[in-house]
Amino acid sequence: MIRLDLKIDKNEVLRYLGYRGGEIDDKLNNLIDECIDRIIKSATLRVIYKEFNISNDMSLENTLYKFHGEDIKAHLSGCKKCVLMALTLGVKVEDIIRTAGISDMSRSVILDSCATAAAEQAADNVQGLIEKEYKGKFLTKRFSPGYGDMPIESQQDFAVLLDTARKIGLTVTKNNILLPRKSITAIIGISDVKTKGRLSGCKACLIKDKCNFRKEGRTCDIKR
Amino acid sequence: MTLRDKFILLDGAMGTMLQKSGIELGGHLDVLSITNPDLVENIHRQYIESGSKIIYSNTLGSNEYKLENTGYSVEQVIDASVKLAKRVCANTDVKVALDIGSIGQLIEPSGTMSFEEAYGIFARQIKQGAASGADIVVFETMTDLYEVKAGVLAAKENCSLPIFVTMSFEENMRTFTGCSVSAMALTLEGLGVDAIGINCSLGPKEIYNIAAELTKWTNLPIIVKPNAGLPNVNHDGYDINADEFCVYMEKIIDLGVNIIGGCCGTTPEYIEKLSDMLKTKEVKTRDLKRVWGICTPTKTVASSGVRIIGERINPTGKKLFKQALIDNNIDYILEQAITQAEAGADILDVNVGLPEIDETEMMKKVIKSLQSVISVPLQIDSSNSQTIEAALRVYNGKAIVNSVNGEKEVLDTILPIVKKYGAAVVGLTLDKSGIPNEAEQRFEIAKRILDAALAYGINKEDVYIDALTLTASAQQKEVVETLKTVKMVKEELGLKTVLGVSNISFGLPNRELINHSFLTLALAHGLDMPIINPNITSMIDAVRAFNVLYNNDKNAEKYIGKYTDAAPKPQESKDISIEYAVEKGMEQEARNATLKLLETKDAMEIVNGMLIPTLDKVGLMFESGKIFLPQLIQSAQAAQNAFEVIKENILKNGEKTISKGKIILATVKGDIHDIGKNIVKVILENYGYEIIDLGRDVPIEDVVNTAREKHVKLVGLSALMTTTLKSMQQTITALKENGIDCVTFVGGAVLTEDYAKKIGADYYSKDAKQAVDIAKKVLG
Repeated sequence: MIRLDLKIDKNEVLRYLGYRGGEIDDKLNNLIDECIDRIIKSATLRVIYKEFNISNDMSLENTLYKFHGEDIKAHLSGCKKCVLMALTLGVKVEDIIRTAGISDMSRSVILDSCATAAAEQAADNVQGLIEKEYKGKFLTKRFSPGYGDMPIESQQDFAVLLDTARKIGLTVTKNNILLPRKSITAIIGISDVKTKGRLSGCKACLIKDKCNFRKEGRTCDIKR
Repeated sequence: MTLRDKFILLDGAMGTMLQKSGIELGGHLDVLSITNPDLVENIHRQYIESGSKIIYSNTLGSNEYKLENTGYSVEQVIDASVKLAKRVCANTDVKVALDIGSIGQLIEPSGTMSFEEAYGIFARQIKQGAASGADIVVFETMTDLYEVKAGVLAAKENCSLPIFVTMSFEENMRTFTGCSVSAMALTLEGLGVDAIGINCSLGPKEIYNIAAELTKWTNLPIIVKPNAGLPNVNHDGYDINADEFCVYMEKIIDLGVNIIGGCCGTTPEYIEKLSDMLKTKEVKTRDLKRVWGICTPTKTVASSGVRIIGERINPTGKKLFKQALIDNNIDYILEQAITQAEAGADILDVNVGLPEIDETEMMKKVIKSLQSVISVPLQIDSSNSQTIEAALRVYNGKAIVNSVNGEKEVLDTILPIVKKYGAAVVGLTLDKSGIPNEAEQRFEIAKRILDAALAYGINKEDVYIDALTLTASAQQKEVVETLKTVKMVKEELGLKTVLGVSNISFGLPNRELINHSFLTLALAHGLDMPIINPNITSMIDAVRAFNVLYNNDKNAEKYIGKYTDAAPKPQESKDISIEYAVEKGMEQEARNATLKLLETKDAMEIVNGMLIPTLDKVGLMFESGKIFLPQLIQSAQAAQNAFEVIKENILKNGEKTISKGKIILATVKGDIHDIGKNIVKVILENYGYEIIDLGRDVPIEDVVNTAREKHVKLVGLSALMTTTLKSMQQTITALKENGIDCVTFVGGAVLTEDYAKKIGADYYSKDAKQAVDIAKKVLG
């Protein structure tokens, strides 16, 4: 069982909330702190990851799964192995966001952003863990189903390959939405030689033409 | 076979054995019963040879959802798997359990699958399993109590086989969805399951404590089927061998567990060792105990002490509540629930009976909505047996039914429903001839109710008696009779007592004084569950003080925690203008300012001359980046407080509510990301628009039908996923094809102006502020 502490960076929370430098009074400031605390206490971070060998035809050895799309192929070029990872903050986080949505919408919105920040932070930490485990190897950044031209339907396959429902309580709907919502799946390529990997970030992103951050000349800054 | 008196050895892992045989990951294991029957048969045979007396069919994932892309039907796979298992068992005394696992989809409220859909999926598996000759139905590796309930009902209603249920817990004694051991036991024993227990997730060492906890909560035979220890981190396999496994399992048996086996990582070797060990052991009989308690998956109300039932979800005498029911305004009811739970209610009474509405449909909807936002158990308050049954069916946990009385017809109609769904029930001490004046006669009725309940197989612990409060102003003499009845019922029948308290003071001045005085008296006479308004401090205070004085609150811990350094009373808010209060998001101040303004100004003048201009100003500040989203919403919430005051005022004067026009809001089919839609709703409401919120994952026809029936001129749709934009487009197309005369606007992270046009929407709304601009343009 992988245990990781959950941390939430307040600046990240503000960023998800679309903060653009205005004045924040004490009341709101305290509310944000309280929400950060609440998410940390309510989340049950569960993580699973597993190594697979990649065949020449982009399938994963000993499985029925094959990567589809040019972008993931480019991202994993030079990698003989990869790690599939999945994490979730659990259903309680969803519950408190939903309840707050009835009685206090501003709290709900802040909680939601705290949870998003927590999940991203957790993914970074898991990546850190994997990097340690593969010391001496070269690892790509994270790439998730739905990035670039990798079909979002791969969420279903990831769930099966990692047995996420049973192992960490993570399911995928028919519309490929991860549930609990505050969850992340990703692939990290592993290479013996230095690999450039695919440029992650905005260019590979599925919503690059529609993203509100980009429209405003900013980035969502998710370190992909 | 009696389940309780002897050991029953189950099998070990199927999946582990199949994977060991070298099959590729990612395929559906159950299909192997058709494509490679020898492999599966061989595993069954090995377990039988190792001593298993019940083997699980290779059907863990044989549901229509998981089998979807395999090319095989549920019926084909289950028939093949069960018959294959039966074949291996031929000429032995080994039984075959139809193995059913989780559907693999989260169900409501966290997921999109409904309780009813889950029921249908399980029913299909069970019908085939029974037809193919299974001897038992077993649900295993379950983590969601609601899903289990759907499954158990499906089994009860579609076959007559014994039912076993095991759930998977983490070391914190909760399942992934937060279900506790006590909630599992209370709910499933109530539903009439034959054996319950724990499987998977952990090894026997970690499960010991969970099994020990379970013995405190149930009299049913207990099943334990652990993994072979904990998984080795990032390598396949588990960390304890068959001998160690046996050592820990022996301890578990000593708790009084008598049905055992192995889950992931266990092999025939583990089962053989268990079989040898069992030969030296005897079943330890557990002390039969009766447990009092009700629950939701995450909250069990069971220990002794006074428990508060909140009375506020009830339309009687409440104009706003009645209006909310008529308008289908569920959020209003949910707010009442959250407030009461936060004020300290342990249980909430739910009454939604109103002649103008369909009580049963409303009750179902309210129960489902309530359990999506609060965790306190519910008391279903209705006299309509259909309503009660519908409510108990969709209730997640063990509920209370309020109520039956001494009339035979009532008892014969409602008690069977209480029994079927495993609820507790409140009996009122009245019958055809009314409420008896004397305590002795009321006691007689209580006895009658208890006897009838016992005759229907309901446990004594699940019968609560309400001795009925009469108003002191009208029947002063009888007040003491109520108190006497409480005492008699408690002492002579040993039943829990319930009492609605607030009636007592009707028609008297200073009602609060009479109410909490009577409450204290009733508690002293043995009242366990007062039904009160928990928002009234003096009532909650009376209960807290009583708990100290009667030694329920040990060392006055809770009392001291509550009243030491109790926050000083909120300062009287200064004279703050309504504009300032809204701009700064000050809810209480906005409310007070409005109350004051209403003394001199007309409601519409306040709305149009003050509130809306302020909201416009706040909107512009948001647009320019001076304030950000939480501040925009806080302003809206403050304005909402002002509106509530105005609405109450209007209702009181019997005028028509303000409505600038109706707007439908929906998060489209397939999508569940509704936070953006909810923000838009809060903001739009403040401009006086009547919002019909259809929720999330909304079927296309619901949008079309609602728009048609309610003559809605503006429809707002949201979607977050690229994949669900398709259903946004389909919804817009359907509105047009059905000739609905309405304007559509759309929003969501992946949408753009261009894309909105492309899918046929009339407007694209970047944020809540723009939604207001659109609404103004369309509706005025």
